Amino acid sequence: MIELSNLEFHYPGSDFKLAIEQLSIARGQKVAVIGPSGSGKTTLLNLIAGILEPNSGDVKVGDRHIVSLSDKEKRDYRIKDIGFVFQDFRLISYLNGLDNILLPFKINNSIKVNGETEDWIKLMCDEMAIKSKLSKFPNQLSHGEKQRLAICRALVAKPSIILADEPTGNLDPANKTNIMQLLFSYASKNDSTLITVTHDYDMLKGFDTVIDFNDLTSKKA
Amino acid sequence: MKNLPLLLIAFCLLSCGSKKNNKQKIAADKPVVSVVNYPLCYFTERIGGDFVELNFPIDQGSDPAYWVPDSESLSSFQKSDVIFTNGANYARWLNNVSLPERLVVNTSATIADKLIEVQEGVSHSHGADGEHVHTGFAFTTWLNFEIAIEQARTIQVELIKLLPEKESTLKKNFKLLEKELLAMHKQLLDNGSEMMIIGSHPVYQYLSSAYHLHIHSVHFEPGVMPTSKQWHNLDHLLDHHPSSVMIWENEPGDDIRKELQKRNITVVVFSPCANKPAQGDFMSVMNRNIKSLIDVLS
Amino acid sequence: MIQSLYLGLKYLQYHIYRTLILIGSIGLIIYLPLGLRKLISESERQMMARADSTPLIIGSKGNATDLVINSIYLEQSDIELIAYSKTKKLDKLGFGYSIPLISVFNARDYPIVGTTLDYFNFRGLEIASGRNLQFVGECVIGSHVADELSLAPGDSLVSSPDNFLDLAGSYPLQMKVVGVLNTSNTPDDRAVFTDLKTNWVIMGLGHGHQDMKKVTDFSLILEQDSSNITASAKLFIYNKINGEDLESFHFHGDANTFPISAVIFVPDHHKAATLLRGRYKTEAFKEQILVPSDVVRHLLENIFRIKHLFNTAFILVGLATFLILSLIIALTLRLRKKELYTMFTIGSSKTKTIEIICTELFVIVLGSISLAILLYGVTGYFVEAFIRQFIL
Repeated sequence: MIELSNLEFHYPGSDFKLAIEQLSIARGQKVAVIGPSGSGKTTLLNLIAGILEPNSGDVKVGDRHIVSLSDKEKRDYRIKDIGFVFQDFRLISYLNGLDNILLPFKINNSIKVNGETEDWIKLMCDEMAIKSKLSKFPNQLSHGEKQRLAICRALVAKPSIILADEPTGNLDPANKTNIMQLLFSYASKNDSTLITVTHDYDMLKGFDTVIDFNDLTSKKA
Repeated sequence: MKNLPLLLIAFCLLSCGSKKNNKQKIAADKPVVSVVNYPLCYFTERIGGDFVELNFPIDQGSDPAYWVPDSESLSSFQKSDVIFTNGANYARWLNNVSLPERLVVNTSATIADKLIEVQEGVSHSHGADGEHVHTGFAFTTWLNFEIAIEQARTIQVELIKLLPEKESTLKKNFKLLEKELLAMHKQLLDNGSEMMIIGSHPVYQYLSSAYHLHIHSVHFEPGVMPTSKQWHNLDHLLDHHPSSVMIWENEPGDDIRKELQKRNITVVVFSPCANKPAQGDFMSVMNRNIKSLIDVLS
Repeated sequence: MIQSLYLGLKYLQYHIYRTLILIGSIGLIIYLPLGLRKLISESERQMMARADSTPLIIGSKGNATDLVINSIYLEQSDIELIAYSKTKKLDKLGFGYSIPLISVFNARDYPIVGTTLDYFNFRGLEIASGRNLQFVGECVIGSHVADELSLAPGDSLVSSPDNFLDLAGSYPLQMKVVGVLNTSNTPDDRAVFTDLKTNWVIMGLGHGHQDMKKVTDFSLILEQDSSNITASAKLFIYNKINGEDLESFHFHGDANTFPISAVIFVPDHHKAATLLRGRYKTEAFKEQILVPSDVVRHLLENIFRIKHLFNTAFILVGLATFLILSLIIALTLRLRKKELYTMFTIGSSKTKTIEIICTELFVIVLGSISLAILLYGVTGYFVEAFIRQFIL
């Protein structure tokens, strides 16, 4: 369960302001966040991830109050519990496919690669059809392949929350469907919460809840 | 016991071999002294005796003054511990070869003022040099026994440098040689003569100047009958300087003797002994020279 | 740490050219002052070694440096010649022995050095092939000359007709190469050695020609009277000397008056050297006596004063490099901002990020230092040959 209550956030020196009185997302829910540019969708993801700190209010994930976590605890929380998927894939240009997938293990010592991880990676690669791309560098891959690789990286530590920021924004229609199916499938199988920011109203199908930043109300899909 | 003869032979061979090696070793330890003519060879032998290894590679038939070394004999000179030269531009080959200069000792350097200058050959000109004549020194220096003593003294001094531990013996040897040379010197001085002498070859300059002898030389070779022009020159000389004695480096041929007899000239052999004599040594040859000369002069 | 190193190496590997250029340029900047210092100190060492091995030099008064350079490095310079008799006079003093040298001619750009056999003993030069000098007209060549001109014993080498002294009547002489010296790694490797007399022959002081009294070709004789024969220009002046010519070979004048460039004097002991130098201080001599090591040290002090200038230049270059490097790092960080932010988003710490960057820098610096050390090592290996080739 993710709970946001009396949350207020603004960037210093800017008139942007995000205020959420109450928002609850139950575990395993697939949530789409829609709204115009600059309405605070990505900010919401960053607040949940503990990357940004609210000016007031609380972010509670399970029984942890994210705001009161230390920097290290926040990093460990992100690396273990959250899988990030970005619109522009954010792959590391100088690492090959496999190294990109394993990146979380290389930048934070609180998780370790074990036999289970290796099996999990094999399974994901099979499912996402990128097994043959593991030795390739990002600039040698198509957009669809890049995003599938990025999803692998996001899911490698088996996170309970997936924060996807416009994951299909740079993809053609066929890939869009494919990517969303992969995310839904993982969330369903692992009882993970999927929060996806999107502009694409065609993609809303399949989500349990849609949060519309136009009126900042949550609706059942 | 069957092997005894074999063992004996082997023993003999071994001992012979080792003796030879020993000898070679001793020879190698001796300083090698090279000389350019027989008088210097003789002096060195007399002073240095067995202490030195003498190198005088000029064969008996040739005149050391005009000898030209081959590569091998030059090499033996180069390997010497000291090289005694005669000075007075003797042995012109020395001018055209490379020697370790610091080992070259000019035995007449101490008496340079006593050297007699002569003209060599005719004057000639070529190239930009203009007319020139090659002047040089008369080089049979040892025929003045005082000079010979000085040359021997230089040899003694140098040998002492090489063999400092043998100094007393070397000095003693030199004294003995000096005494003998002095005796000959005195003998010649005591028998000075105003008599006119013809020299068969211009090699008696030192003899004539040291012992006040009147020697006028022609260019006769003992084995070659002089040409009529040469005889004419001799007659011309006799007209101005009547003489009844002619001294020769070697015994002249019978035909030459006959021609000389016709002119009432007695032949005296006075060998400069520049190379090793067939019989005797430097002393015996010089004594014979002096005796023959004195006999005629008296 | 290992993971940071892994990521750092991956980054460098991916940008391999950029990395190599960085390592190369930083390596060179570290190496240059070290290498130059090595080159300078090795030049000094070699020049001093040669000077130290030459106890005393006696030559005409004038430029001391020219005299020493001419006589120990065998570089030709415009020095006044002295008479050969000087050698004899020095020998007579009993302080040691003297080795005359004359170096005014060249043979195919290598100096012809006229001397005596004592020089070879003094310098410890051995004959590698052939034999040592024996007759006038022969030469023994240094190993470098032999290699460069592809000469071996039995070949011949002609002296160059020109020399800056422009002595009238110098005839090019075809010298016979009789020996090649062992490599000594000194200027002796680059010289053509002859006997003094051979040098005098090139100077026109001695020659061989047909015996004028035995001439059969009467066109050789312009004029003849009872005492003088004038030869025509046709009279053959040898430009090479064969064994059979040797007898007719002669020098005009007293060899004591013949020229030499300098005398190397080898004193019997230290005291003898001091005594001889003392004489030159108190008595009026036409020549000067020099201790080569003093002259060379003074020379080197002057030349290598420039060393300090180098040091300043290198400090400035180093500073400029540091600034440029900082700029490169700053620009790289800006380019990599997004990548580093992604890592932070996913769960990396700032320390980790710094660790990765530092690891990369460490590898570059380590590579540069290794390159500098490698170049320095190579310099050490080749510096002697280099100096011999280009400096001495």
